[in-house]
Amino acid sequence: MTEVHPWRLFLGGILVGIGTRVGKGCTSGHGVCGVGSASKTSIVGVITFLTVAIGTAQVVAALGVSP
Amino acid sequence: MAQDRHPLFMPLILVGGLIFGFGLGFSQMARPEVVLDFLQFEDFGLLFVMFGAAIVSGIAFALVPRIRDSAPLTGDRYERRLKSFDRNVLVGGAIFGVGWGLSGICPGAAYASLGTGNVAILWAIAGMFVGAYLQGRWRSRAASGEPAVAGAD
Repeated sequence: MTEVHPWRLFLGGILVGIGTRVGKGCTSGHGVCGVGSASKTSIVGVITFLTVAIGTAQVVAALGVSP
Repeated sequence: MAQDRHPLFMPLILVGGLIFGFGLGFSQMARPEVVLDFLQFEDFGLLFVMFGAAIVSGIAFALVPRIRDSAPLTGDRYERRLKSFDRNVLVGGAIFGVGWGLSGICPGAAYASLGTGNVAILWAIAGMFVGAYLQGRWRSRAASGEPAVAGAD
């Protein structure tokens, strides 16, 4: 069982649900199939969500939220 | 839904899902902690899994259509499903990134995580359903306000 707090899972899930639809793909769609297809759209999408996710996780950790 | 799908189409989707889910579980990517460790630069496994999978699928996308004209079981043509680029890719990618960085879950990994017995991940799956529903509501409201808008996907 994950130790990550339910509020992080739920709130993060809402944003993942919105972002996947608006951004036309997720880690599987853009990250695996899109990059595998050499799609420029997907490469830009991956760079965008990877950068933002790294920043978000670092900020959340710096705020002392763990896990 | 297309009615003229080959009868093997859905079973093949199931087999693909089985392999995909097994891979996510086996590689530990179904555990939000491992994803969050990557995003905090403490474990770089995710890079190898995601780009490793992209390389494998890339080889398949590049080579298989040159070897064969159609899929051996269903007879479907091979094609890449490329998405057009617009501002939404950046906006949606950023929203996705905040959610991914906050929770350590993404759609595929969340379902695989449920399969590993991680029942708490239902919070994340519930969140994804709510988020996807809200986005659909918002989009149809925006579309009814501007009748000329073409569908993004």
